[in-house]
Amino acid sequence: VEFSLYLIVGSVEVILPPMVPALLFLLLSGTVWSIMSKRRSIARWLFAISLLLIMLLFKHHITDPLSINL
Amino acid sequence: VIRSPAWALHHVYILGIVGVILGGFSYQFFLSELPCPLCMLQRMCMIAAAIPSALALVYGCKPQFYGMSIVAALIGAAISTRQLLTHICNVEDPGYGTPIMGAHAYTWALVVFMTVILVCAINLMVPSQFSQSPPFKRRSVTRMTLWALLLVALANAVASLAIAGFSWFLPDNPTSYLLFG
Repeated sequence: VEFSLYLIVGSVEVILPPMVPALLFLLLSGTVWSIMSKRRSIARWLFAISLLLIMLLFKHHITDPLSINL
Repeated sequence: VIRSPAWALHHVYILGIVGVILGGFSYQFFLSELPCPLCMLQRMCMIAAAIPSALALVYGCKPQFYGMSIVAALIGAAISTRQLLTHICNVEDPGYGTPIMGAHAYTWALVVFMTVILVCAINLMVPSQFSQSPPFKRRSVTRMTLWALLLVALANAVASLAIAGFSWFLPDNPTSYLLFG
C-alpha cells in the first residue's frame, strides 16, 4: 500500500506543470470565480483539487532538503 | 443593512483573512521580505479557508461549509506548525523574517488557523442558522467582499510567478524576483 501511494504521489508530482505555486493560486481564484458565477459543483471540485495539490506541494517541500533549515 | 449575524460573520471572516494576507504583502513589498515556499502554502490555505464562507454567502449557511473551512485550516495549521517547530529546534536560528509584535509571521499564521477552527466549531453549535438560511441575496457588499478575495488570490498568483520566474517551485530562500532577473 505504501509503495502504491508513493507511486501515485510521485506520478502526480511529475505531471505537475511548472510554476506550481502560481497555478495553485489561479486554481483558488477559479474556485472563487465559480462561486461568483453560481457554479456550485464546479466550485466544490476545484476546492477539493486545490486542497489535494496544496498537500502534495507541502509534501514536496517537507521531503526536499531546503537551505533555510525548514 | 446587516441581514443576519451569520451574514455579517462571513463578511468579517473573509475580509479578516484578506487583511492578514494584505499584511503579508506589506512585509513583502515595503520591507522586501520575500515569502518562502511554506509561507506561500500558508497563504493558499488561508484563501482556501475563506472560500467556504464565500459559498455560504451565495448559497446560505450549511454545516459542510464549516467542515470545509476546518479541513483547510487544519492543513494550514500543519504547515505553520512544521515551520514553527523547525525554527524552534535550532536554538541559534533567529527565525524567518522580521517578528511582528514579538512573534514571527508563521506563528501568527498558526494563531489565524486555530481561530478559524474555533470560529467554525462555535458556529456548528448554533444550528438555528442552518434552518433559517435561504441563500443570501447578492448585495453590493457581498460582491465587494467576494471580489476582494478573488483579487487577493490573483495578486498572490502574480507575486509567486514573479518570485519563482518560470521554474517549477519557489526558491527555498528567495532574495529577489527571478522573473525580472
